[in-house]
Amino acid sequence: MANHDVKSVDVSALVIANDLLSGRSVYLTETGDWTERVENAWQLPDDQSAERAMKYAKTAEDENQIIGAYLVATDTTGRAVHIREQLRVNGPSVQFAPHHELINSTTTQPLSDAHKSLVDELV
Amino acid sequence: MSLKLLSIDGSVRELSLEDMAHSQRLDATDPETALVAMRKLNLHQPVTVTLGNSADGRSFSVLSQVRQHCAQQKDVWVTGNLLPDQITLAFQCGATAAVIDAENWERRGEFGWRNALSPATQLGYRAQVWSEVGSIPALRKTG
Amino acid sequence: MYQYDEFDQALVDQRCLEFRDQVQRRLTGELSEDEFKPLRLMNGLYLQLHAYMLRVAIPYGVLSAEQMNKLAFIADKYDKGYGHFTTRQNIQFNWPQLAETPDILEALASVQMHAIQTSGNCIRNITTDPFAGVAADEEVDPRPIAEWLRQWSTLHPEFRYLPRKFKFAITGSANDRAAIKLHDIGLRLKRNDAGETVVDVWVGGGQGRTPKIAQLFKPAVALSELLPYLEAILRVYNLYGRRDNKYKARIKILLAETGLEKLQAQVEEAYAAINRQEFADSLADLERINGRFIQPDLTESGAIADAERPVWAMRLNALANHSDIAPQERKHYTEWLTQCVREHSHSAHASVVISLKKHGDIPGDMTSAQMRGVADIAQSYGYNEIRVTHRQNLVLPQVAIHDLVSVWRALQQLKLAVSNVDLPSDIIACPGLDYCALATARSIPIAQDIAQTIEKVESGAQGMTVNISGCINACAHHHVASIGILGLDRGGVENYQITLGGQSDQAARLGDRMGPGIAADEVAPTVERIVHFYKQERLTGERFNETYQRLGKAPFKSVIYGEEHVAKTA
Ligand code: SF4
Repeated sequence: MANHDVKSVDVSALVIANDLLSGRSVYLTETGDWTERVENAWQLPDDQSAERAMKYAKTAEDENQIIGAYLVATDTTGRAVHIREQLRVNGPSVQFAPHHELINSTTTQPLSDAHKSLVDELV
Repeated sequence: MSLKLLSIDGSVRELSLEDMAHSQRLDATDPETALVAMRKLNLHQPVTVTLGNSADGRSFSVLSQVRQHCAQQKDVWVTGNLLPDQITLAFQCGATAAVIDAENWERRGEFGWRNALSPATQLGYRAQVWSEVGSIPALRKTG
Repeated sequence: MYQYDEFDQALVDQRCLEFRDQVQRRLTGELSEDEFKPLRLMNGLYLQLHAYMLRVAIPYGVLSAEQMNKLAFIADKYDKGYGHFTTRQNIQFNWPQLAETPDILEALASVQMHAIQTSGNCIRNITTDPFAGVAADEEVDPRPIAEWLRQWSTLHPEFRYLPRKFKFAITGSANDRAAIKLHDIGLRLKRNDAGETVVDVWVGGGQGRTPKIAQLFKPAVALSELLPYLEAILRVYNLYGRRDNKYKARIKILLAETGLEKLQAQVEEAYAAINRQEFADSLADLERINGRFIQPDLTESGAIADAERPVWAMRLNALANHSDIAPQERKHYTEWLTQCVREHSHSAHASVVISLKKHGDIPGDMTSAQMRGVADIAQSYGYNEIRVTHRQNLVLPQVAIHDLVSVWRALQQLKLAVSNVDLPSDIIACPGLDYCALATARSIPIAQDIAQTIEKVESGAQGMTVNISGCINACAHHHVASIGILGLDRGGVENYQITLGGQSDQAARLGDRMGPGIAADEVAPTVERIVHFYKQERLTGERFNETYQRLGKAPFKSVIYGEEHVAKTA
């Protein structure tokens, strides 16, 4: 695996991690919280702020909120530079379960919440 | 440094360095040397095998062979920087007791260590517990 | 199918309790991630790019209808309504929540399933021929032996921390559909002159960074000797396999570095030293396991085997003229019969392959509704049984020939009557960079693009395989495809390397690398050109690899890179 953990901040960076409970990608905010919305991520302009942010992240790891935090390089618009992180931010680039509601509409199976939200996403 | 001896029957006792002196030592972290040294063991004396770190599975192959080689010997102990999961496997590979230093004992707590020996944790198809001394129920041996 | 006994059930139940406790301790913070990670991995729970991923074992690819329904339940209740079948004949769920994973394991245990040893440096799920027990060309049914090995290898205390993961595959047929020569150990079951089952043991196959074809390590091992002999191989590997470099840790490297004869001698020595008493009951165990395989009663469907077996091709012809098929349907039905229906050892039955490769869909993905639908079909027409293939498809191993029309109609409802099995669009694709934390490039969108591009030109390119891996780990077996595609990262841009001429059967062969990688949007048109070129150049009846061998690399390079480029670099 390529090492995507940037060591020094070129343009800017943000901290990405996985939420312990859901495993979803989360981002460190300026207030030290974690958000699933990348637009609320703390954009780190330089090495000093990056270092500070990673300290927060380390604490959050120790407190078992998140796991696997690392720095992601971003461009001037705040978008991740590498495709791997672009995919982490945006989710899979492919539409999964495309026939789901299609077929399910002909059955009487109750929809679970997860499934309902998926159907919402697809419609 | 004080040591605990956790036996396969679940008993725990303090162990002195003198106790350890009676036991022959075999270092499984260097398997090749260990397997040669194994041939020279006194089969009538206890043996203590030092296991490598928990992910170094070579120790279990050494231990299994020591167990087989010293079939008449009741006491085959293991020591090293042990973890509870590791001694579960060590008992299944034929160890009869684990030597655990006090600090390590404290860190995992008595429950953690004893749990490594609970019949449920010991379930497995190929587990071979040295049953003369143990109180562990019969395990399925598929082999 | 094998039915658990009390011991089997107690073992998986115990694992559920243990894992529930471990998750609880993680959630309260008693266990750190460093301590928890090896524990969750031992239960198949990975952390991927977007979420946790749970890999569930499907031992030797055999599922009951009830188990398939349970997978659908899990997909709906704990995931996003779908699952992904893998080349290891397993299923992966991509979105479980940590706190719910113990419930998932419990749901699995309630139908005799688990996620044990689907990760880590241990003996992984054992794979076999998806037509095991039903193939017309089979000599020995590999399933009981696979179950025997599953039990031997499950929680084996000596082999929980091998230098690297370890994969077995087994076949009981001369036509190898289990890719046994690409596994750490491949077993070929056959009958000797006395009619007893014996086993050829192949060692050291594998893919990844250094692909190797296995070598015949010991022929004709008696069943009574098999487990001690395998134990000896594993012991030697455990002791001497490299642990300093994970790319050199598989047994294929130990074999290459030690040499065949020397490694054989080491194994013989270890084998001679094995305590045979431990294996005294091994044949009785196999007997016990055999007794727990419930074989379907094929007379139940009222189908009676012919005294003389009709020639299969003629049989298919006759079936295509079924009176229930309307004239406008005939073409599709005939296509489906030809591509998806296989000869069964019982002449009144057939095996049906269900393609999970509808052009444009994600290879191996299946929605919960489709899972339920297939379970229904298996219940109504398939003696309750389903298989998962290493090509990420499903098989209904036994369907009465007179039920084929009904099965076809039911599959159509589910969008699963896709007649491309063994055609180039029957692509193996790993999850790649859309999910996998190890990936260097995406595989799924490339597969979708290829399948849609070649849909119109692929007919007749039977047996031509296209496999796409998203990194050098080669989970999608790209080394052994007619067209292998490997996704790499070239300075932050996805780039795809092409190999040609690989195959994974009894004549296993690694593909040849064609040259520099190509851009993502070039892949599908390139594959299309190769398919087209093959169809144009082939002699009658010639398979892709035969054409490729006959013509050599050069013309194919021109097809891939264009005449000019080849001339320049020649
Ligand atoms: S080949 Fe690489 S990208 Fe694909 S599933 Fe395997 S590890 Fe992941």
